[in-house]
Amino acid sequence: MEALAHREHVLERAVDEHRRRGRRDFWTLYLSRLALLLVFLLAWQVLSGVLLDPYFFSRPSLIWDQVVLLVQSGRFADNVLLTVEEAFFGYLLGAATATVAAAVLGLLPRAYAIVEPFLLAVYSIPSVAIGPLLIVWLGIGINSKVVLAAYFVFFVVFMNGVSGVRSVPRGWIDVARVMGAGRGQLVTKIILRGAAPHLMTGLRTSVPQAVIGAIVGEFISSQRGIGFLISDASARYNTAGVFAAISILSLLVLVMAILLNGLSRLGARRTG
Amino acid sequence: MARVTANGRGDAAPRAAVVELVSVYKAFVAGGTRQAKLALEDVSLSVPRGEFWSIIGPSGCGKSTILNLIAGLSAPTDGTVLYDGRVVRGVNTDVGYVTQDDNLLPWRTLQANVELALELRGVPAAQRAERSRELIGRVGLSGFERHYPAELSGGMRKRASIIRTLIYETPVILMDEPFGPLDAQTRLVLQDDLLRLWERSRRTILFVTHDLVEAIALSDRVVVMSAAPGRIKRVYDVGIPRPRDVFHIHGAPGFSLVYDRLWADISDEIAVSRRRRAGDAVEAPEAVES
Amino acid sequence: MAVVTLSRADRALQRAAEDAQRSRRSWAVSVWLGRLCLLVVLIGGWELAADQHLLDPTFTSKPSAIARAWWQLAASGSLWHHTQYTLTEFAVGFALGALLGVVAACLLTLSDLPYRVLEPYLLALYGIPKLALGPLIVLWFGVGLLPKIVLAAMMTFFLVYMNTVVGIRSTSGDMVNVMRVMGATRWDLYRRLVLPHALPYTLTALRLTIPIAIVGAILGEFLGATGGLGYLIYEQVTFLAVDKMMAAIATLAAIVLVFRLLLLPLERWVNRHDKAIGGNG
Ligand SMILES: Nc1ncnc2c1ncn2[C@@H]1O[C@H](COP(=O)(O)OP(=O)(O)O)[C@@H](O)[C@H]1O
Ligand SMILES: [Mg+2]
Repeated sequence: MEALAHREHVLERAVDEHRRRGRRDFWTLYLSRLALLLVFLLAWQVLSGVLLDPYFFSRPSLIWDQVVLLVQSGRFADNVLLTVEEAFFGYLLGAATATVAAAVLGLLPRAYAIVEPFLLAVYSIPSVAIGPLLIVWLGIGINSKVVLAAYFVFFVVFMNGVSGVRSVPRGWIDVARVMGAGRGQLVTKIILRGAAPHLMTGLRTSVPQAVIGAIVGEFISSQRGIGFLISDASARYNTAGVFAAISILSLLVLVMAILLNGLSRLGARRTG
Repeated sequence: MARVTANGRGDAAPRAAVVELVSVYKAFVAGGTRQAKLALEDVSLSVPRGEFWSIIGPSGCGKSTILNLIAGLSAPTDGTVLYDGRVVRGVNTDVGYVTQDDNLLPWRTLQANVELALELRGVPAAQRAERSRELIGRVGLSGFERHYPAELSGGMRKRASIIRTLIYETPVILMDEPFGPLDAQTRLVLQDDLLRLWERSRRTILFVTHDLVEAIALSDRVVVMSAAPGRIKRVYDVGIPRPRDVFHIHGAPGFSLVYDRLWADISDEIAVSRRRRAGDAVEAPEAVES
Repeated sequence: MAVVTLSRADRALQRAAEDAQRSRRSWAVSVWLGRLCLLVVLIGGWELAADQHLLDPTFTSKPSAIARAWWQLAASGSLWHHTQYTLTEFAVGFALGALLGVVAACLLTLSDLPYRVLEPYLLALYGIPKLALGPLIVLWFGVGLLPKIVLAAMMTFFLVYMNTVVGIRSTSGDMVNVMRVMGATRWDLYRRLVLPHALPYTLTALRLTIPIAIVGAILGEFLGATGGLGYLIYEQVTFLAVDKMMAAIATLAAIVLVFRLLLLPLERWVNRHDKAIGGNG
């Protein structure tokens, strides 16, 4: 009887201790995070004009004004839409070509071995560097940005796709062969299917790359787009405008990341 | 609580205990559930200096938990753990710990791994090399000093992890199923190695195993634990004279007597824990220590 | 009887070895032939197409013109002049970013709370496209070397930081416990366990960041500079000098390639204990 009572006591103590620590951790964690953010924003706001040159560092309230101005004047929607459009088509172009290339080269080891050094050479070209070339080739309109975005996307998807095809265990292929799978079935049912998770990773992680590609293209030359907003504000020494445009861009990327996470969680159940 | 021989010769320990657990309870709270679970209940144990003790019991009965308490890696929920008469608080560096995985550092050569503890203690390189060379030789690993763990077999890595603990001469050594994943022959050879190393210095060893024969072959005492929550069921005095021959331990006088009685105890426990597991839901694997 | 079996076994072994060697050799021959053909077809086709005006040489240039442009740039010393700029920006920025990344990873993993407090902010910063900060950095630091160094460092910092943290946090808890029982201090743990364990992760990050650090430097040069290979490329847009642009781009690719190759032996040496990793580049 007494032993049983003591057992209960010990268990209770363990749960109590656990709960207390959990609660303490929770509050310290979230309060510290919040406090850090507030202190940072407040310090920026207050110190700007005292320690920080507002000309260079602006201040949160001014940035907010700029955001409001952008939204109300309609410049926000206009520019964001253009950048999204560039990134979208660039993504489609880059991801589609990369997927096809990865599937073909992944399935043909000899062909892959042949083109590998060429790929490595092209891969070593810093992506930004071809921007001016694309301007010469495709003009300063949307096309050069679409292709630059596609170039930013291509290698991420391609590398993941190839490593996906390579990661399909030899055993799966052998088993399917023994079961009498034809070549076409082998490719679609086993190899591409087995490569899907890797390919998905590439397709997911390359989405922000498309946006960056479009932005960089706009930096190099453009009259519209988020990249233009940033470089234009910068050229006018409008620091608050630069921060406002960067905030908008970050928000865009964040929203995309959240959407993608949701999508890939849905997809993960299907692609395993 | 039945003991065949409580603490050897009656409850008042005749030899000073170096490791002592007094009515120890340990409860864990499983990750999300906020449900506490007893891992150890009212465990009392008193290990005299210089003896070789084994702990056996069904898996999950808290054997590793006991070793962790003695090493000071976790604290009891209730009761006290004493080392050399003092309460263990924080990590107990007076014990050596041989874990089930060999836990060698993959980027260090065999010799550098063996010398790790001496290095931590600031022993000069020449002295370290001398001592490691001797131990490496004694377990038959000479010639492999410059090899990396990935280049050694499982048995060789095990030997390395044992002499890595022996080299800094702690008074007590804890071993957690050290020979678990090895094949039967290698096990026997390593048991023989271990006994021989132990005979030279007679340090206190607490040896966790699930192998009955191994426990009998090596130990002075065998502690049998019962299934969750872990309790001490009985402590057996093995009584087979030393030095022992692990390869022919079956023929040793008194072996079958101890074996039969131990087996009777353990098969009960295994039956209990199996019945319980069949009824239980799957246990939460990632759990937070209370 | 025994002799017969032995010699048959020997013959089987020999045949297996020969077969393996033959197929290896035929593979190597076909691959190298294929590479050669592809090279000839690409370069030759391009040259021919430009000569026959299938491609407009003003826009696509052609291999011989690019080679000539490269040679002229090199001979006049202007190629080296610009390369120096870019190399300095890259090397300093890369080293700075890598160093800060490793130091930050060590400091933040020292204890749990600061890490968990800062984690969401670092992730948010990581999520901001660093290249988009280019104009801001130029606004702050002018058009000298500094803004490019800052951009290159930023590109390097985050990946190195992230990977190092992953490495540090994946250290085996068992191993930590074993060393603590051995009497290791926190410093011992970092020096002899945690950092050596994280090193391969850091090196992987370094390999991955070489091209993107150069990207940072080049973008900086596009946004305002007086020298550098990126500046050289950008300058040619107005002259439509595609040959010079290509020559400069090829030089950049060569630089990236050289640095990646330089890092390879280091990685191999660090992973020398691990047969499985040792081989891949
Ligand atoms: N850190 C921990 N958190 C939660 N539960 C634990 C922890 N360590 C051990 N346990 C639980 O305590 C019991 C005993 O574990 P352990 O000592 O490892 O058993 P043994 O070594 O005898 O197999 C098990 O039920 C196990 O799930
Ligand atoms: Mg255990």
